[in-house]
Amino acid sequence: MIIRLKSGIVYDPTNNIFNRTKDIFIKDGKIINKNNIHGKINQTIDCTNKIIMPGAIDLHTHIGGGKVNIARLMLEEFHDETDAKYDSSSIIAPTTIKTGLKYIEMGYTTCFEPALLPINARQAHAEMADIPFIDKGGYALLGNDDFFLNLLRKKASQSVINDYVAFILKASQSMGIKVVNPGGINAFKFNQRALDVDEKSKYYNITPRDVVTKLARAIYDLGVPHPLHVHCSNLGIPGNFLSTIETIKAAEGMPIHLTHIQFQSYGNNGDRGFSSAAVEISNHLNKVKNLTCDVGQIMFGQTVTMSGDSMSQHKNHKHAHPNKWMCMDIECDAGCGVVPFKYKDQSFVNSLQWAIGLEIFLLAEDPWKVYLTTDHPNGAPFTSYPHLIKLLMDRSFRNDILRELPKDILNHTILHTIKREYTMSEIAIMTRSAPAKILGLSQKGNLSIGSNADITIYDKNIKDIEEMFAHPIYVLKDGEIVVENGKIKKYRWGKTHTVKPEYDKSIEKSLTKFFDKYHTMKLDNYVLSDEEMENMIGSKVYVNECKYKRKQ
Amino acid sequence: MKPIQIKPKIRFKYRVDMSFLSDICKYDSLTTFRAKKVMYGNQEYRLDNIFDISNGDKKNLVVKSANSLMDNLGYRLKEISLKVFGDVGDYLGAQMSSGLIEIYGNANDHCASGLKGGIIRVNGNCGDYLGSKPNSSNEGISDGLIYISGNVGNKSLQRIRRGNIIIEGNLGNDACSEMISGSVLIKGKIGHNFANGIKRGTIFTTQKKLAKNYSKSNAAEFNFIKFFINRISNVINRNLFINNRKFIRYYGNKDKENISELFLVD
Amino acid sequence: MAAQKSYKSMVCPFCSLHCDDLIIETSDNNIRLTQGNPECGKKISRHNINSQSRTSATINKKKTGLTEALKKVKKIIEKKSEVLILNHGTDLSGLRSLLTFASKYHCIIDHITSKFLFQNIGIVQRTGYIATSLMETKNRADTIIIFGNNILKKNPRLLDRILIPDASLCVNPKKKNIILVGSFDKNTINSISRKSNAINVRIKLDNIPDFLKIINNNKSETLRFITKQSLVKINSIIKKSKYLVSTWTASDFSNTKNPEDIISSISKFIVDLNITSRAACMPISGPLADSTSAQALTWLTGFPSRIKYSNNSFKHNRTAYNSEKLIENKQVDTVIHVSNLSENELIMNKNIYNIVLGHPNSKLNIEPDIFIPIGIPGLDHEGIMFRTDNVVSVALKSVRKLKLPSTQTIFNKLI
Repeated sequence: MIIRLKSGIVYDPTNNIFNRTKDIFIKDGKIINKNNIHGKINQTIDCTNKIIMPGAIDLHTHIGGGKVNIARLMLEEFHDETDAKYDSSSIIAPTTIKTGLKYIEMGYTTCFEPALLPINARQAHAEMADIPFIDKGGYALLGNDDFFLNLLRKKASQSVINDYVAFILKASQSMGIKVVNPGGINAFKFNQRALDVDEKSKYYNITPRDVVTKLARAIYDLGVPHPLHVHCSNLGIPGNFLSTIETIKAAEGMPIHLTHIQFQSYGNNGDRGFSSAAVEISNHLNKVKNLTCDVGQIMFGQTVTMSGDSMSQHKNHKHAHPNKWMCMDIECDAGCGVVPFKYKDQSFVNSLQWAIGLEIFLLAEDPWKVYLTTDHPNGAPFTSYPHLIKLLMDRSFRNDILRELPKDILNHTILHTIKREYTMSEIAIMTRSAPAKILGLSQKGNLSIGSNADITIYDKNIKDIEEMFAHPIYVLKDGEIVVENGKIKKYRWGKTHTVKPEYDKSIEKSLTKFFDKYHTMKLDNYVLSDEEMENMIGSKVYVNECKYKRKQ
Repeated sequence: MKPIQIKPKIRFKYRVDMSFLSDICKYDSLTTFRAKKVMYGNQEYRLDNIFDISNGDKKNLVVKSANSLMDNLGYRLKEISLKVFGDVGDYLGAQMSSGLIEIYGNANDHCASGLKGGIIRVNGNCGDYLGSKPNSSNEGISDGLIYISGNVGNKSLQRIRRGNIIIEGNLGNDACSEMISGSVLIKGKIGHNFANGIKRGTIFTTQKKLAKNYSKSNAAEFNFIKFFINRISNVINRNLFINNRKFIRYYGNKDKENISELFLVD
Repeated sequence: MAAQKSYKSMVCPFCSLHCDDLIIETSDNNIRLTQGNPECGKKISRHNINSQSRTSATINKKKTGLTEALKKVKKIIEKKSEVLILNHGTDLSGLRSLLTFASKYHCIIDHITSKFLFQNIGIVQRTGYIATSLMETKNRADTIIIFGNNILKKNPRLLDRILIPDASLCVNPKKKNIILVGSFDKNTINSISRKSNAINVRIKLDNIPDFLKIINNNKSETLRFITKQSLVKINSIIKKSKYLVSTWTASDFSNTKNPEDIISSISKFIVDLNITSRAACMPISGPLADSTSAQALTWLTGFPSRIKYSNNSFKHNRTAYNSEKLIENKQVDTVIHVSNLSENELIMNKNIYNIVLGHPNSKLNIEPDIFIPIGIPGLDHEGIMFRTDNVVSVALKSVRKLKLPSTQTIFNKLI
């Protein structure tokens, strides 16, 4: 079966193609060269006046795993299907089925769950296997588990740490490593309520800086394409931009990705002790090589915050709306906290958070280094992406909303002075090609010959940019038309993306000892095999290449 | 305009979710409403295949020949007046925010669960869990008015926040536990473990034993209370048991967290 | 000919701890636990096939082939007008296929122990709640409060593996304080005392909320049910504790007046302790895969139990889809019992059409209209089940070869 996308306006940033009219041919799920077509073209889609982009990639969205399911359970009142429209209210803690439907309807074809606890990996993958349409993957959480902290305390060599990281990637079938509040979640279990970058944890006597340095190095040494994914210390606390900057330094030049950086760019100036430090953070972002970030924009309205950072979530529970919340300590591995929250446009703090996120987007010089996220659902549900794109592309729209917000935020933000408007090309970069590049997904986020035919087609005739991005008229997943004229045409199920760097198996000996003594399960039950993924969990594994094989 | 009459065409054997009635105003015409698909048993039916629905005013509904298999009547009701003849199932008027429900028959469990506003009048008895907490909230009734002419079952009125509740009959066990505020008037007997952990609110009762842990107030006219009782009588269009009766006020429970007041009706 | 013996490791599906360190001996598909807790050994051997086991399908008591039985089920389901699927315990794949089936035939789904599930879920859906998992308890807890006495009987290895383990990472396992609330027999208390500092607070379970209130308020007043002396002692232990865990099982409270109040008072007690110290709850769920069911149903439908597929989505109603009432009042005409994990008696109403996808050793109060024997996840086929703490799931193995079909196979053939 050959499909031809005829005369579309193509944006393919990886190949430096912007706003160019051309044809695209698809066969067996891949993009093929026109010259290699033998046989007839089965279907032609007229793409005149339509924008063609690779399927969008969300590199940070909480879509599966224990905490997501806690939120679903907790927020039962938002599952009432009778009011289900395209408003964000109906996707607060959506079911797996709804998650897939809403993503594909927006032209997203690949998503990554950023907080996959290795001990909870079986559940997270089982949930994600039940998300239709999209390809998915996860980043394993490390840096708060007692085994790792013990290694640091015992001053284990970098190569042992590398082996452990590689083992975890394999055991949990993950795409990368994320560290959340480095060492802090663990310290909270010993009743420490805050842990700054150079503060020592009481029990292990280790600083967050140590954790970040070792893990960033391990990722680099193993050749894992996605840099260490970091949720910094002191999330959400005024003045935390200093911790963020120190965390950047802790990477010691190794690649590092700071996630939901909006929550990490707060100053403590002004009467209320809360201000924007987006300028300081952006300066670092623009200057430091090997540094990328996603924003974690907030939007006004009801949402639910969920995080592995039980330390900060326990602090936040006082702001829960509706008034219920849950925190959990998990298996000497990490923790989690789920707190429903409503961002209010009449609140000084929330309004300033909104402005800070936009400042970071607009002050970033290179769209290849900053990615579009709302840290779904922490800042807002992912269904608000089209609205966010409009905020970035339309200055007057942005300023109209800014005018309605509390006036005193203007003393603490420079948003109203920023003239920049994102271009269509820049949006294509930050939602497709850049995330694919930073994840090492060579066959995604581009329309090169041989790449996956994950393609989104927007109607340029729709003048409202938000509407255009919310309802692409066609979405193709692996060469199959799954959305046609904005309607779901066919269900299909994606794959799970992983990396499997090589490592010295002797680490498994010490792990077996540790498991037998302290764990509540055996090491071989902890490890997810490819067969289990396919037969029991229900998702095929796709192993992405690591950059290089490095001798330990 | 005459009210819309809704009457079942078949004898129900299985439970039926009646919450669709509350959505009637969302439909442009009654024709489209009648064509709406509803679930009965494991089949989808056109609404007019199982109910006769007359023409009339969409804000004024009358359900005839109701029975106790009908759940969720008046669920999330807003600005609609609903009259029901016959018994009803669970969750009558659950999470209703405004309007009026009047039933001539008995209501089953969870009547007025999570009520937010409006008036519910039950000319009959109520099952257990009157004004219960919705699954997802730790508070029961947050506002509204409930009048029950008959008896009420157990575990009723837990953690109510606001609202006025009048019960002419008896009230079962474990009622009004952890009551946050609101006013409750009970004419009949009250079961054991009443108002356990109550914080604030006003109780009107004829049962002397309930005043045991309170201190007696000085005698006074309590004109505001009389005004309040008269006003409620007018709203529900009925003379209350308390009209023109004498009462004594009690306050200051021995348990310091309890700052409720209690009126003992003579 | 002598039977072939072989030794295998097994992951146990029969209680919510799901221990995966068992070694079993199989000969002719008979399974025997070679070492470990004798209670567990007894439990496991009950699932061996014996002369009374039903290994073939029956329709109206008559033996028949699987294909015939499934044909009949399909015919019946298409004719009937309100079908309830009552889950007595099945694994993840069973649940997934069961949901697909239910969405095709618009069925009601309930789990046999939903009542207890909802009592525990109340604290998640309505209030603040702090939880912990088995391994945290094993390695970090220095003080453990056990509410109710059945929890230890129902989970034979809870004490040795989790509450008083041989090794703990961060605390001295020999110096743990165990506070037993409720009436415990002497043997239990003695065996706990040998390994830790055990205190028994002999109060009625109904008094738990009052007991926790006076501990938290630290009021000097004594209540009828507890002496001042023991109150002071308990208070000082709780004050000194660095990581306190409360554990209970909701079914223990089934004879109390208000189980939900008890559970929410425990949860509130823990939340309050966390203002200055660390503490967490660890409810223990039942043995009939209730955690597995609640987890999978929640991510697939948004609701943990008592759902019905209608108007293109699953709707939830705790009273209308309560299986106990539906069966009692004959508000369904067909019940499909799905029971993979337990041979305990299935109670059926003879006025309703009963289809049983059952454990081969199932005891039945009446003869069902259709019986189809199914395999046991963890013995006959692989599977995934969730542990009581909901965060860990285990991969069950297949350890015998009886060729019994899985729940998934059955439902997939019916779709």
